Formats: sequence, structure tokens, C-alpha cells
Amino acid sequence: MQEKQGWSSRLGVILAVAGSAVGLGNFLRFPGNAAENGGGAFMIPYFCALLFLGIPIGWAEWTMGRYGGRKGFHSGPAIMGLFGKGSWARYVGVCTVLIPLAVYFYYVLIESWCLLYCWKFLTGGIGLGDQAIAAQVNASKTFFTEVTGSTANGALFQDDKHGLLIFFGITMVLNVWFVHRGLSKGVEWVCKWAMPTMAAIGLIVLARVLTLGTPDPALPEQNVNNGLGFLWNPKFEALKDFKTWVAAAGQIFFSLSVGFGVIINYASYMKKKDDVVLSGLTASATNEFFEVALGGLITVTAAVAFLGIAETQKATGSSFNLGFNTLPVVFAHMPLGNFFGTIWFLMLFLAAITSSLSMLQPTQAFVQESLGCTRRRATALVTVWALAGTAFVMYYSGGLDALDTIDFWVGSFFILVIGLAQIFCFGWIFGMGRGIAEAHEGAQMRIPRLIQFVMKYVSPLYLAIVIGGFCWQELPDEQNPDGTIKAGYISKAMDNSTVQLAWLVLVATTLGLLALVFIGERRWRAQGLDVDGQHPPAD
Amino acid sequence: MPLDALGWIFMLVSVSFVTLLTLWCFSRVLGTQEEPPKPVKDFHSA
Repeated sequence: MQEKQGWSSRLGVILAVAGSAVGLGNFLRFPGNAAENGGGAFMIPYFCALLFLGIPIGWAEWTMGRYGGRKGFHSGPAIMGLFGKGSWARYVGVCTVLIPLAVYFYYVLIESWCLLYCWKFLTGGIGLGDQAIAAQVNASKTFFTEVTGSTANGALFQDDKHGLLIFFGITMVLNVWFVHRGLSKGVEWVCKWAMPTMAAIGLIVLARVLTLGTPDPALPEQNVNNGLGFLWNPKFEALKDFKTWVAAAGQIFFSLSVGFGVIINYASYMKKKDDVVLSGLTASATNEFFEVALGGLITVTAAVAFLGIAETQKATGSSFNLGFNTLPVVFAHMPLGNFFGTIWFLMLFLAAITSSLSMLQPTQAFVQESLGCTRRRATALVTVWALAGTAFVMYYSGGLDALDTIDFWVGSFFILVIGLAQIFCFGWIFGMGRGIAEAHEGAQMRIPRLIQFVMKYVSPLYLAIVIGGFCWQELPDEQNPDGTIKAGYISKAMDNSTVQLAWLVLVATTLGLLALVFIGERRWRAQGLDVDGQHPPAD
Repeated sequence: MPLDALGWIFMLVSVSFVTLLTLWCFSRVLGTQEEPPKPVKDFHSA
């Protein structure tokens, strides 16, 4: 027997969940998504998705997690088994571990890019010099290609020009160390420091960006007002396009960490009388503050002010383009650019580490729970597993295909599927009345009746439509306006051996996790635990 | 394309909404007492 893990305070768990949610997507993906999908008008489907999907499913996850913890479970599959009342839900629930683990395979790599960029800016920048902007953008792209090794598979291991492997090593050691320290001394401690630091850095950078005015008087159209206009002026015709609604729902899901398997694990360490309703709302609101108030005002505005609308438009379609190719050029032009570059990438690194820790934690809890081993052993096993997956993504770096495949299927598609499974189990199998009563245990505020209706009927339907739209939009080939064909994910899987290998890795990982569910289920039954949720909690 | 009137409205409403919601939530969280944590035993770990 060993002392159970737990949070040292309510603020701790809120900051940990918010830290998990706030990541690169808040600062890079959101502004790009908004600019591409109707500008200010994007906020209409975005807030609809927040109200009808993000917050209700988030509340369901918080409630499921705390209830599972009261029954002695901390892993997503076991808790899904309680709410789905059977083995099927436990096996479907394997996605709540597959998602954080597989996303970790590439996320920790991106995290180490942020650390490397932070170090580079601290020590003099990435060497863009005083060339014309187009040449600087090209130099920035070349630097990014060298850092990521995206020219060819294995490039990173043959010619690691910028020392990424060292930064990866540092990032990995930090991750494993903090997860091994446990919840309150590890994850909670990091988030308690990192979240206020990120907010402070974000506000400093925001103040700087909003006071840039017209940085180059020779180019009067490149100014802050035009930058804000580019992102926020509404284009209502975008609302007629189904893609805008799917993009908004995807952004909310990706951003809030709903369906990631993290909230359910973190909430399982809460006490019976801890308030899950206010905690869930606070964590979501914090994430929205970082995304809308900071991400929505900083990134694109600065890019337009220094590089103009045409150059910014090229970058908004990709988070990596915006974050790692365009912004370094912005910092090269900004007064005190190296200072702002350093703190900006430090903020991204902190955003990434608070998220990556939250990805290891559910896997570690699941391994510990299913095998009945110590935290040290579980951490060791999860580290080896995560390292093997990351080594695959690092080696198959050509065109970032391996990373892209895992990100698309696991980080974008499976989270929607598991979100649907969770809200279905919560509202339809466990029962909405029981679920809401459980959520209200210890809560200072009530979930409004309208939202209860939304949780039961609107969220599952909305999510099913989004999943259908996502498949319709992303899987088949698509013809661009210029007549060229944009390959869908089906074609990519047929034609690209790296994509097929990435699928093999995902299948192998899933099989490993299913085996652990199988072993765990037998152990839990042998221990006399109520694995199918037939009885109320003993407390 | 400078920020137009509707752009201002969308930006201010969105930013104010998330900022005020965050401040309201934290004021509620920080304004209430919570029980000190009690150590308990875990039944799964070896």
C-alpha cells in the first residue's frame, strides 16, 4: 500500500486542467482558424460550440472523473466502464488513454522545438539578418526545416544542426521528473507557477503588440489596426459554409482538452464534496481567456503589422507556419525582438509542458491501476512507451507525415468520437438525472436546466453531425479553386508508406492498451470492485 | 482593411466576455473556504 495521490487544493486542480487545455493551439491554431473562417463571424459558431459542446461535455467529464475516483478508479477505461455499465465501454474507453499517449508521441517534440527557439532567441536569434522580408521568411522556413528534419526521414539523426536532440532530452527529462513526483508535487506545482507566468508574459507581449502602431512608416498599410481588422472584421458569408462550423467545433474540442482523457483522470483525484461545476467552468473560462483575449489579439496582429496581409495569409492555414516560420521574422523586425522572441517561446514552452504532463499522467494512472504496480514502475513503463513512439515520429520526420497522421486521427478525430461516447454514457446509460445529481454534489452553482437538456439531446446530436462533417470534409480528395487536387486522408494513407507505418504504430499502441484493459478488468473483479457500476459509491 | 465597427463589436464582446467570465469564476473559487486535504489509502497500488 502507498499513499493515494491527490490535489493539494481546488485551485491546484483547476490550474492543472486549465494548464492541460492551454497549449500551442490557443496561440497559433485559434487565430489561424478564425482568420480563415469568417474572422469575427467565426466567433458565432465558436461560442455555440463552447456552449453546446465544450462546457456541457466538460462538466460530464469532471463529474465522471470524480465519481470514478469515489469508486476507486482513476483511469479513463475503468471509469467509462462504470458509466457505460459494461465491458464495451471499458474497451471503447481505451481511447481516453490512447489519445493522450499518442498525442504525446509528437507533442513532446513540438515542445522541444519551443525550448530550442527560446534558447536561440536568448542567445541572439535564429540568424535572419537584415535581408528583405521574403528572404527572411525563406531563411526562417529553412531553419524550421533543419530543426524538424522534415527534408527526409532520418534527417534529424544524421544531421542535427541546431542540437534539437539535446533540447528533446531536456524536455523529456523534465516531463518524466514531474510526472514521477506525483500530482501535487509535480503537475500541480508546475501549473501553479506556469499559468500565472504565462498570463504575465502574454499580457506583456499583448501590450507591446497593441502599441506597435505602424512599425514602418514607409508601409502605412502594415499597422495594428489592419491586423485587428484582418482577424476580427466579420465575413458573414463564411457562416453559410459547413466547414466553418466544423472548424469551430474542432477548435473548441482541441482547445478545451475535452475528450482527451485528461479531465476524467484529473477529476478522479478530487474529493466527494469538491465542486466540479464551478471548477469545470473556471478551467474552461481560463482556457478561453488565453485563446480569445491573448491568442486572438497577439499573433495575427503582429504578423500583419510587420509582414503585411499577403504574407500573413500564407501562414494562417498552418499553426507551424504561423508559429515557427512567420513569428520569428516578426521578432526580427520588432524593437527588442530577441527579448520578445525569448519570452514568447518561453510562454509556448510552458503552455506545451503543462499540456504534455497532462498527457503522461492518465497513461501512468492507467498502467498503475491495471497492472497494480508502483508509481515508479508505471512511470518507467510509460516513459519507455512514450520514447518509442516519439522516436518513431522523430525518425519518420520527412514532410512531418508521421506527426500529421497521428495529429489528424488521434488529436482531431478520435477526440470527437470519445467525446460522443462519454456524453452518451453520461446522459443515456448512467442517466441524466443521476449524473446531474452527482455533478451538484458539493457544487456552489447549479447546472442550468437548459444545459441539462443540451447535454442529453443537443450535444450528442451536434457532435454526431460534426463527426459526419469532419469525415466528409477531410477523408476524400478535394478540388481546390485553382483546379489542383488536395489529397484527402484516404488517398494519403494509400500512397504514403510513412502514413501506413504511423497507422501500424497506432494499432500496436491500441492493442497494448486493450491488453491492459483485459488484465485490469480481471484484477479489479478479483479485488471485488464494482467494475460495471452496479452499486452506488460506498462513501 | 482597418478594424470596422462590426469588427470592434465582435472583438470587444468576445474579449470582454471571456475576461469577465474568467474573473467571475476565479472570484467565486478564491472567495470560498475549502477543507484541508486528508491522506487516504489507495487500494490499487502495490
